[in-house]
Amino acid sequence: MARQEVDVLQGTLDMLVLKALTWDRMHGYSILAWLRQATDGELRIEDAALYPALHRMEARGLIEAEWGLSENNRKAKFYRLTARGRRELRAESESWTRYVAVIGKVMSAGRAAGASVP
Amino acid sequence: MIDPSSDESAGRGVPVWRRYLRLRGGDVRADVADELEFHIEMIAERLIGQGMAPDQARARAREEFGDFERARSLCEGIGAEMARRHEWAELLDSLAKDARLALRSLRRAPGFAATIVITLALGIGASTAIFSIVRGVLLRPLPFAEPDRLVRLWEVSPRGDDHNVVSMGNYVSWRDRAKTFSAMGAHSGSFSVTLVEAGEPTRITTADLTPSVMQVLRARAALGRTFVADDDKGDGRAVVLSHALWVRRFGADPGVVGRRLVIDDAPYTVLGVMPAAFEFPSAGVDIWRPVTADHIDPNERRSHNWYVVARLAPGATLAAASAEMRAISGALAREFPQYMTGFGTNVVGMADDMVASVRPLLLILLSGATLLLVVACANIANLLLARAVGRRREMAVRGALGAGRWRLTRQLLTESVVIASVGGLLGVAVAALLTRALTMLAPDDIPRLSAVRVDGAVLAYALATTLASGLLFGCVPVVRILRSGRRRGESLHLALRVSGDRGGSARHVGVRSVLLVGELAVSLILLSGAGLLLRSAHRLASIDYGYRPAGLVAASFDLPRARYDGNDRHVAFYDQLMAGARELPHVTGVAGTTEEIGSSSSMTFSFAIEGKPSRNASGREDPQPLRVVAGDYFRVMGIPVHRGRPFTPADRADAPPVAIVNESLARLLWPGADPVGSRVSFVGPSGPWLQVVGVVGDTRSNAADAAPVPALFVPFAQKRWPWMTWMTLVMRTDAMASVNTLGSGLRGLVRQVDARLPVQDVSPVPDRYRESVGRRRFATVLTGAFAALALLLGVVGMYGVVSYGVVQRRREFGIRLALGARASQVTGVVVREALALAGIALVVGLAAALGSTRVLAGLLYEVSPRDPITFAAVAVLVAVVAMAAAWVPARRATRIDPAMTIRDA
Repeated sequence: MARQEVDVLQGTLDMLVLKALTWDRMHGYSILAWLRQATDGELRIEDAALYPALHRMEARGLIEAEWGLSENNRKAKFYRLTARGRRELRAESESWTRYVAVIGKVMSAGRAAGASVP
Repeated sequence: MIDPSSDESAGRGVPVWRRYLRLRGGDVRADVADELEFHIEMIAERLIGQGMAPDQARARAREEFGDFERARSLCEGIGAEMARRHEWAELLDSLAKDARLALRSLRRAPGFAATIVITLALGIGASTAIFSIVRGVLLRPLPFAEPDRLVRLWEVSPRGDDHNVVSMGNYVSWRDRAKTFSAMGAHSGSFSVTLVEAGEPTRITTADLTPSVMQVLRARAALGRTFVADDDKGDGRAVVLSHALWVRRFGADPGVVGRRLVIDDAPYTVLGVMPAAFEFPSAGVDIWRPVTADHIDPNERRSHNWYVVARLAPGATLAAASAEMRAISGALAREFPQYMTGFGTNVVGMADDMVASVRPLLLILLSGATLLLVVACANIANLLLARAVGRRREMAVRGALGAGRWRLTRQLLTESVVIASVGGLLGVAVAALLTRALTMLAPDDIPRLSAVRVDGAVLAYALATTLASGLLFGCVPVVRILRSGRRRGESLHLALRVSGDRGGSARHVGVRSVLLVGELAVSLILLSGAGLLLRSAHRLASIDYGYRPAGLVAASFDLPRARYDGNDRHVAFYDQLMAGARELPHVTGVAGTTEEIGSSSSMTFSFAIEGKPSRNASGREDPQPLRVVAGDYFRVMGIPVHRGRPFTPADRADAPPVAIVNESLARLLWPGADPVGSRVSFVGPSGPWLQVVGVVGDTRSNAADAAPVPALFVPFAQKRWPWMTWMTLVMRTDAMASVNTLGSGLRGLVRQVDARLPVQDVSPVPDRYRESVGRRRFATVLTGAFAALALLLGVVGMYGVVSYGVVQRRREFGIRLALGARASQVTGVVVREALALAGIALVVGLAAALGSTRVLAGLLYEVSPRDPITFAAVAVLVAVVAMAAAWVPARRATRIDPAMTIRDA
């Protein structure tokens, strides 16, 4: 494990969870597993931190929960996206993309671009 | 509300998923624990899959998971909050639904809804209006700093009057000796003076006070300044204006401070203006003048005419102050035995002192209004019950469709509260109007009426009565419907099949009858009260005043001492005035008196009787009311002269001094003997003497309801008190006289003599008694109105119950008629049953009324609170009215078509 892990940014965890729930309902453990897989384990998320985030989002009506049976036949609490959650995800990911693009522009700007300033 | 910490459902062995199936709001705590534990299990399984031993894997999983307790408490917090919000939303949602349902069903029955809403609006309106007066007069704190530390100090006279006004000497002694007060002040009662402004004289009301009164009250001026301690060293030519006078006479001019005014012909300087809320010692005082040190005679212990206020020192209690004052008055009695023997002191909280006399009146009115509200509620409950019958099927259907008992109850109660709210809203409007009307109708001697308004507390009261009545009358149909549901085993088919209302109707009528009996009984209490007050009013109207007030017109005068010094000038002025007044059209006789007719205040003097040893140290009798009269007083007033002679024009200042006594005084001081010929002296047992020349009849000239008091009369022409400058002119008039023309005639006369002298208060003498009967009239009018409304509601209730009974029994009546019963027999059955109910109500109501009318005793005049005539009349009235209310629906029973009703069933 020589690879450097990145801490998940405050506020982006919600967006990632919404993303994870795009296609299907999932329980907490599988959300985390999916996120770890999708980031090749480069993102550090504390397991315990996931649940308050999930419950807050449920309270905000972004996701809804139901009890069901897990793949290994246990009772598990599954979350799915609500219509509102889907809208939220769209808005979040748009603003994220623009944010990354803008910051990226600045960080990769060459000296020549700045020289045109009188 | 859901309790998140409850493990109850888990304890009952309900599976987790069942709990969650109960649409949300499950056991938050258990759910969070389950969810988190599942996650840890999954980690552990992964680790075991990687070859770790199970125990080790579990421990490792917990470690890897992170801060379990923190996650749990955060999630529980969020969950609990969600559950709470959800509960509320659901409750509000269903309440709104119930309210809509209620409004819809009321719209379907507009007449029914209007009856209930109007009944309730009157009940709530009346009780709220009375409460607003109770609140303003009795409950609102006085508008001074720390008002509960303010006290009034009175002398207790040897005769036991515990509100005796104080002598200046006593005030000074109290002030100098008492330690339990941080400040003490003395003031006069309010009286009128003449303010001349821009050449125009007006009468205004003043109260003279020691500057320390302002320190006692901690009063601050709104403009300029009020009196400070040093003001008692000045010449006293300073005034502080009331806010009202400042606005009325000076157009709220801020430059009024420092202005010079002429009051009673003397110049004064305006020091400042008080805030609008400042009322002292009573409402309507226009200016305050300082009592300066020159006017404070520490040795004056004979003349008692000052009022004393004080502020309790920090830490001092009323009891401590009373104890100290007792010790001080004991010491004073030893030091000044000739003046102070038998005198005590009385220390009372200022607010208590102010309102103590009206508290019973207001509480009686509040109880009356509350009783009316109770009657209104009973009536509404009865109406709702009648409707509940029609809705039994609706309820059964809703019950069968899964609405629980609690759900149905809530719906019914919501309906009642919705009805109550509409009624309450209207009631507040009624209360606002009534409050204004009542403060105008209220007698002037009720203190603090200016503090009466519809404020937050009053609205809170209206809201509370609204909810209480809604729940009160709402409970009756709820109990009724729930009970009927249980008795029928909640069987839907039965409720649906039964088209009429047979089963259970007997009991139903029972509940309604009980309500009706209660309603009539309470009305009876109100009617008895109103009846007693009316009878007492009648007694007062036919009272024997001892003279003939009808046809007498009075006008008041007061001569400024600056221009009229000396008795000769007073006598000359009033002689000239009376001579002129005799020439006015429609005037048949003119006289004058120093007493204030219709007012309970009186001037009392003590005097010695020649040859009669007095038990008092001063050698004089206890003080008795003195009336100084002018002109042909006894003839003009219509007071009979029993013995001796009346005053004549020959009883001049230089003639031998004479006096006349009335019957009461003769009985009191000359028991069994004829006073005519004996001599009295205002100075002492060695004269100078006044010869008693006559005995006249007693009069009730103080107050209509007060027993005649003893009185000594002396002729104005022989008066020896130069400060006695005032006189009430009384004119006997014929039937054609008008008070207005008489007033302008008098003003014309006065203008010829003294243009700067105002004529006050020209009014028929009978009007001057208004105040003394004002409280009674107020109580009579209001109680009468409450009682009339209650009786009206009782009629409606009786009509409703009997009509309902007739409808219930139309089959029975139909059969009876078919079998040959005469119409009168059927009517008789119905009316007899109604009368039986009324009879029970009479017994219960009369018993309750007999027990409760005692509270009216203070307001009754020569009528016992258990006056049998009143109670008999009220009982007959209720019986007759109840019978009439039953008669109409009873007649309807005879028009039932037997064939129709039998076929219908």
